Amino acid sequence: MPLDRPIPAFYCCYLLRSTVRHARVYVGSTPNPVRRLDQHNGITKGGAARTNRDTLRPWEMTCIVTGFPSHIAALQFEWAWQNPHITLHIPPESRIQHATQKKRSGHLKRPQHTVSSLLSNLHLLLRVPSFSRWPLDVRFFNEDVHKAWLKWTKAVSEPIADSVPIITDFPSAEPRGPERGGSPKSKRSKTEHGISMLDVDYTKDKDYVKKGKEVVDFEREGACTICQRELEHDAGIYTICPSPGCEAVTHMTCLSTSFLKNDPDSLIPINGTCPTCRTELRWIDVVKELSLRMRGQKEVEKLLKVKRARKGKTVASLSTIVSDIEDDEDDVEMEREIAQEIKRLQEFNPTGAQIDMGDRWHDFEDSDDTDAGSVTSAASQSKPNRKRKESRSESAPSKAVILDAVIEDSDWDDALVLD
Amino acid sequence: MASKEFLIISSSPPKAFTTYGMSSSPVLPSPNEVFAKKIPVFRTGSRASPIPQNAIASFTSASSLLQSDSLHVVDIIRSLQSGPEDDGTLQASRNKSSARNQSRKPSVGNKSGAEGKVARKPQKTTRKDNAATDGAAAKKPRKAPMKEVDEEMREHGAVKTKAPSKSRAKKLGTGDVTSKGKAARKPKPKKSDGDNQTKLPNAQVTKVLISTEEGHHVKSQDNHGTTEIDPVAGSLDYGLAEAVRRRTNWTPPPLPIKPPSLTTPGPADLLEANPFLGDLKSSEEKDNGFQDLLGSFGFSKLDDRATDKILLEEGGTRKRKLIELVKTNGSALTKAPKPKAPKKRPKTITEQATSAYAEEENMYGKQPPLMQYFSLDATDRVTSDGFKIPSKARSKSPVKRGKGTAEAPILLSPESALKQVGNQDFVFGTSSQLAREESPGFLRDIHAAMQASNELDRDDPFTSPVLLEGKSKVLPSMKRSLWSAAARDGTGQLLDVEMADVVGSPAMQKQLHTAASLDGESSHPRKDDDEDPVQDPVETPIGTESIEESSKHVGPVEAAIRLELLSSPLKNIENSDSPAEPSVQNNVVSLKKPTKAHASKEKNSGRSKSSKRPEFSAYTMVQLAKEIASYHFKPIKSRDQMIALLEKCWDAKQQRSALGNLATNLPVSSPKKLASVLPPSSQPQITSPKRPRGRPRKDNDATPSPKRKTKTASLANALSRARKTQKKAEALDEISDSDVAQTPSPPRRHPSQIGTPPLPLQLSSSASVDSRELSPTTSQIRLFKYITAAVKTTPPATDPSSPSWYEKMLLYDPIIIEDLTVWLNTGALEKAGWDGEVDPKEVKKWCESKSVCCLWKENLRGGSRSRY
Repeated sequence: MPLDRPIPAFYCCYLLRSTVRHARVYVGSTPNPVRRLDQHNGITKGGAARTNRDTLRPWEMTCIVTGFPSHIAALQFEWAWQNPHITLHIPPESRIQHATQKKRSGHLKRPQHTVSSLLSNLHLLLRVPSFSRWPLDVRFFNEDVHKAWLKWTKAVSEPIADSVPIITDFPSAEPRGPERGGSPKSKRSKTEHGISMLDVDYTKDKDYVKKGKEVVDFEREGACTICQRELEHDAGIYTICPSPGCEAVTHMTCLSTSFLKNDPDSLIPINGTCPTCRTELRWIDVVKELSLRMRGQKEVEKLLKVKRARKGKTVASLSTIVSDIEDDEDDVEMEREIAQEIKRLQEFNPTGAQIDMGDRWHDFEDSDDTDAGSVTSAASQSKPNRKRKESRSESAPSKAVILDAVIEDSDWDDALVLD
Repeated sequence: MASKEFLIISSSPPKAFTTYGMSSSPVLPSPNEVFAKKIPVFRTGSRASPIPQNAIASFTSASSLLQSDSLHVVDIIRSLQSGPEDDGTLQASRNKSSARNQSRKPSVGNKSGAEGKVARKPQKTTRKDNAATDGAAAKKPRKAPMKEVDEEMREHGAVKTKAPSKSRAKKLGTGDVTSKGKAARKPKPKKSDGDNQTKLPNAQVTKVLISTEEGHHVKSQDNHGTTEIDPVAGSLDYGLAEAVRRRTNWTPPPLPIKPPSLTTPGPADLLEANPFLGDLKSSEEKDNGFQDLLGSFGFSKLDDRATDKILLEEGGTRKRKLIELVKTNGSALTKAPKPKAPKKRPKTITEQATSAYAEEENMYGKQPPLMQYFSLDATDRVTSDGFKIPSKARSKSPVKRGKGTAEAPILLSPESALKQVGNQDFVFGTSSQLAREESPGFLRDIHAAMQASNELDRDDPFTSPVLLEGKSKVLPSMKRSLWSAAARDGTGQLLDVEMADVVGSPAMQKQLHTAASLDGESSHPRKDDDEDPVQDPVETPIGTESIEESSKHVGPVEAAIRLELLSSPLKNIENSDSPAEPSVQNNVVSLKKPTKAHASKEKNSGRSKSSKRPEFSAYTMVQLAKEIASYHFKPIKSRDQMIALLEKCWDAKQQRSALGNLATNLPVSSPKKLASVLPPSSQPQITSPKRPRGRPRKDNDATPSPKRKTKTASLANALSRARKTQKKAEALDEISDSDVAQTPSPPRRHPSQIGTPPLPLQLSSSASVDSRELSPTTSQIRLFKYITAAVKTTPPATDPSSPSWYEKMLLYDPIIIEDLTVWLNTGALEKAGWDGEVDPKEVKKWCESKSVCCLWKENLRGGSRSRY
């Protein structure tokens, strides 16, 4: 069965730590860290059993590894991270954590995890051949954890690949580390930090996707920039340069070969330069757009429609309409969209364009205020409100697959009328 | 008549006792008026004091008192009924039993309430009345002469209310008082007509019995009783209340205790009382009758009781088992069930199994108390319960004896039992397997050989024998060829007597020495038994030092070979191989006689010596890596570790015995274990012939290069790997084939060798095919290059919906290993210049080395992934 989904906009493995007892840690993966953290904290259903003890809550995501090109990849990495003692991705000679006990079944018992052990294994996993060339990056949201990471990094002789950026995003409003893709920063960025600011959708790729779509739709592929052969429409897999003004289109294999000029033994490039505009490109960005073009019709549609709606400043209503229209929309995407909305709302807030928002906006306002308070509480408190909205809007599409009746039931009914 | 009557009487008393436990409603005389009046009286009276005694006797409720009193009446009634029985009909006795049953039933119900009793009593009374009306009428007049006052009173009572009921009530209530009268009556009934007489005597007897129980006073009290009775009877028409009181007072304390054994005590008392009664009565008018009666009682009672009991039981069982059972348990018959119970106890299997131990405890612990208990009872009622007691004693005693005597010798202390078990030889296998082995010695020999060969595997001594057995059966035909193969040295020489000796003597130390001396070349099993079994002639680096020594013993050809070997450096396997092969051919014919053992020993000695062990320290890292790979170890970074490991492996190879090759060893021991623990090799076996067999496998199996590498690596175990040409291997094959028939195989070896044949085949084949590849790692690297090339060179897909494999990878699609493997093996690799097929595991390794996300189509549970 062929893969039928584009490269996910976001998937991460996270290191969860109890804010109460720092020794208690958990490793998981999710396409939506905000939602997932709420689950862990019991705000919404679905948290892992290991994290449902009240005395350990709230949990915080201290460190996440993002950029997984597929959910399978993320799950594999997660499992390897959870089971560093037995994963085959770690060659035996470099394994640093060994099982000391056996379970009744005879299987090796997973050793107790600590932040330091998980960080050291994370460091190791980022170096093993299985993952070393994946387009990953590591983000730290907690200074303690980051210090432990730095400490371990110094202790280890072999550094992780340069291609894996280490990004720190501390609640203390420190200057944020380089964020590739440059998600839009609102004026509230000082108080917004951590997972809530992560782009879990394709928003940042919107322009790129739009350009690619236009190129393909109007069959402007032309000739491959590299091999100069004519690119017949829909007769191959072509990559398009993401840089705004560049419409260089190439065979994917040509581009990969170009990227791998200096590393012929490797199979998958990590980054390279556009043959036309000489822009430094990451392979994952190129391919993500390509996968969206090839397999992500729905996602592209949504992305672009949202864009149009944005112009009209009726983001919420339009977006919901869009979401309702799409039949197969699943929860993840829905939530992604909602989170996206919220961000947009945040952006709009200063402009005072909240006329249509009504009650919703006020709710958000309140949560925002609380966010300004304490770092940890901000994350946890702002979520409930947001969550409420999400669940409200979620219920309709998720329950009934886009039946009009159901849509009418949703809270957005009024909004539609207003529209 | 009299005699008959006496018999009846004797029988009746026990019945009365049995019924005593019963409510015996019939006793109550007057259904209508009497009851209404009596009931309150009884209750009050009974409650006051008498209850406890009576209650203890059998019944807990006040009704019991009534019943107890009424019992006598019942007895009378029964006696009336039994009258006809006396004539000798069993049915009559049965009727009695039935009557008892009936009476018992009501008793059960009565316990709850007195009314029930009352209601039932009248019925019986009526019956009795009907039957006895005539008799009663007759009695009364008769009584008058005997005891005027009493009789008169009774008559009056009877006249006043209901003649039968009154009389009975009086009798019951004033049982003690009336006893005299009854006694007086006794003779009368005898005299009277059969029906009436029977009734009367029974009643009398019962009364007598009761009286005896109550006290001896009654007997002597005749006069007193009469006097006393009179006023009582006069004051109270029925006189029941007072009678009850008196009775309770009169009744001796032991009675309450006895009542549980109601049936028994009665007779005992009777026996005791009989003499008195006899004396008393003898003096009196009725003496004659009484004496006869008493005398008859003593004897007859015993007999009757037995019969009665039997009858009772029978009747009860037949007609109304349930009721009887309930009563017996609840009331007085407890004794009977007790003795029975121990006899009947069903044994569970576990009980039986542990009986030997459990009973000992019982002997000292449980039984004594029970015995004491019984014995006490027995002493009390020696005569009456006599039969019961002995039965108990018998039942228990025989059990004890049997267990004690028979089992005592058998029983062993846990320690000794364990010892015995330890000494026992267990052979596991199916019954058929075990049965087929003619001699136990054979199995033992095999086992010993196995143990000797696998010291490592001692943990699982049982696994090997099974395998051996199964295989031994299957492979009789194989034996010869296998043996012949095994009998060959690496050089093709035949191994002589020593082999047999070694086999025979499992002693490990000897083996160690011999192993050192013997040839480890071919036989030494390598860490990976699977692939290793191929013992390479190549591997055997012939010790240069030993050659000289060996040359003395060895024939000319061998000597020449050895000289060549000497000249050739250890590393050159080629030399060893090439010379060896020709030598084999030649030797086969010529060298049979020459002491092969010596030769092999010499060779081995050469090897075993440290000097012959290749100086791994001098190896380059690449060489070391190859060597490590040859042992199927994963690459090790540390040079020191590599050297240490190689040395260990080398030693292990040298030491390991031919038996180690046995298939049985393979499953048990993991390569690492083997490496760590080196078993001394008992016998040198020549596996060279096996190689040729192995070849076909490689061809068949499109095994990935790594396997080949490993195989090859194994071939060149100690020394750098050589090039074995297929030609050479073929030559070896031919030689081996020819050899097969020639050498007779020692029987003992068969089992051990059975498992080996398939493995060697694979190895040899791999070795020959992959001769070019030096080490698994290198070959793997090479293979990976080919795979990479194959993937990269595929032209880009023209249909975006079906990208090529490379495009999938570029898109970060998870790669399904099986599919990619199929694609590689169906032409892609061939195009890339790789001649062979790839194992999915290798593909997985390749993917991981390239950071390609890969996964198996089938998960661990056998299912396939539906979504990606």
